[in-house]
Amino acid sequence: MNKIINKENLKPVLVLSVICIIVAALMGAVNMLTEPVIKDRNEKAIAESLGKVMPGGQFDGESDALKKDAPETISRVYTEKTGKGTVVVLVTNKGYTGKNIGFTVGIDTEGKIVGMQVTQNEESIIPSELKPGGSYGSHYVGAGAKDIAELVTGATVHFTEGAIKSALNDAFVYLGFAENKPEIPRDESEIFALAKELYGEGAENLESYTPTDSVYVKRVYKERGKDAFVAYAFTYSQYGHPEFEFIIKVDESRKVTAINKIVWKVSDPKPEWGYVPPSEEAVDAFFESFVGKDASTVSSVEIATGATNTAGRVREAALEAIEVTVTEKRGPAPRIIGIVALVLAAGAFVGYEIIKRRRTSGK
Amino acid sequence: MKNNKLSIVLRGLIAENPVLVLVLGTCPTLAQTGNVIAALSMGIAATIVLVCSNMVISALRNIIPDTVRIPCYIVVIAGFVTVVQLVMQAYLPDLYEMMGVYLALIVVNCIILGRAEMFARKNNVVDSALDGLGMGLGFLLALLVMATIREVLGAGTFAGIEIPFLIVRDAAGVVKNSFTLPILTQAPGGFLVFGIMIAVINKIGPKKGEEKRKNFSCEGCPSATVCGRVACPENTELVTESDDRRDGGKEEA
Repeated sequence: MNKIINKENLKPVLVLSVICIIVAALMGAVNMLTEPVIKDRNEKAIAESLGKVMPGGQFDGESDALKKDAPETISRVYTEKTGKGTVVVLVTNKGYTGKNIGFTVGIDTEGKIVGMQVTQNEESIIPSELKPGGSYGSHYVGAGAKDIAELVTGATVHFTEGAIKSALNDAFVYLGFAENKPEIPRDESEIFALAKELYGEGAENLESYTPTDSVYVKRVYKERGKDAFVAYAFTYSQYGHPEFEFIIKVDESRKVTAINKIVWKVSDPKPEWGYVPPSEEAVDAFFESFVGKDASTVSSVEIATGATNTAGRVREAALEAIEVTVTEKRGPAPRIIGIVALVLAAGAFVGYEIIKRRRTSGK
Repeated sequence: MKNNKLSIVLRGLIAENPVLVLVLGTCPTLAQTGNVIAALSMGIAATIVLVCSNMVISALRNIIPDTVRIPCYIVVIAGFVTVVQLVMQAYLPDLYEMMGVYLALIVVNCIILGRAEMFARKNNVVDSALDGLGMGLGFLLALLVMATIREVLGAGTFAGIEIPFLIVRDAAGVVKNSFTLPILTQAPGGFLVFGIMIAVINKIGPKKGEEKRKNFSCEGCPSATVCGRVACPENTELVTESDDRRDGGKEEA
């Protein structure tokens, strides 16, 4: 131990650490100086945008108190004083690079967007329309909650636009013009029936589990004491519609033995852009090729171009299903045995104490 | 060549221009020379970081152990880049947005790490600052020349101001004729101009290519013992590097 921690080894560590601390302190100090300036400018941009996204609107600069269940994308809400509508200040970091994109949107009393303006964009690659004050918001004027998903702006990259649309949907939900999407888009009993069908022998003993730390795998169905299981995976697309839904059977050695595609939805064909989605046969073949794969080989499943992102998410979902873990429910027998054992232990303790006291008093 | 203070600064401008002679920092050179304003901003930002990092690294050259010198340099450079980034975001937001990701990429600019490793860690603080200044100005000069060529010939503007005889408008203000080569503002144009500039510098700059050396003997040749005079048995001419280049190399080493 002493040979490892000596002066020669310690000096580089100490020097590097001290340099890191000093540089971090320097950056912190500069940040303290510049942060208020940057914040003031963002505030000014938001204040200026209020009148632009709600033409003719009157605001006193005071924002409303946010509801407790407000989505994290909603930063502030301003109600227009003459009853024209509401301006919502949104900030999302679900874009291409995960940096903040802030924008204000004016929504009238009918639930239609009357104006939208980007006030902040920290993404590294920004189309000119999406820069603060750019014209990107004009694409959304007149759109309601139902129009957002299919709205084509052609102005920005897929992920960033998806993040903006998702945040806009939050604003509509917050103001009561749209409903929150359900966790699962179909009835539980319907999924259970499909799971039983895929599982085959012993399906009547399947029990339903909800994994706690999964993104795509929403339900797991398994027999008590058995290692094989069936998993149901699902996700919404960036545009708010169910992107894919499938049921996958995994055997005791964690290999996929069967898969049943329920939903697969990518964008509609756009020949004028040269976009052609994969054919139904190609998609079926893609799903079929998961059979026989395990955690180490599932990433090799490929699809023809046209749905690269969706296919990637299906692979992630399949891997998540293969590796999913759930805590098995306790059956009635172990529970009774446990209670009996507890009662017996308590009885033995009480009996021992009684006998001990009697002996003591006898003496 | 005697190393006086002025020559340290001037060396980076032409003779050892980091972009056109040492061919360092090519990425920002190609990416940020579409217009003069972006090139100017990048050049100034890189110069500030270069001078500051050279000074700090030189000041700490006896403290930083060799084994962790590169991580230390990177931390120092990244710190200064972040400072420049924050200051620009606060006080020059338009330029900050214009430079985008390339501002943060100054951290991995080869010129800065290269000068830290080649010069700052072996010289005093003043010389290192002058070296940083010279190299920074050389970088700025190369960017400005390249951006001017690309913007003027490619877009018909200089720093965003339209040049009348390159873009001819009618009375209503509609573009009537445009004598520009738009490809120059795009990536292929960047490579094209960059290549031409390097060729020109090679032609007019100090010769550092191959040249024949007279009166050469085996004396002092490091390979003499194993060579057996196979490579140059009779003749006394051998193609080798010029004195200039070898001297320059020694100076830097």
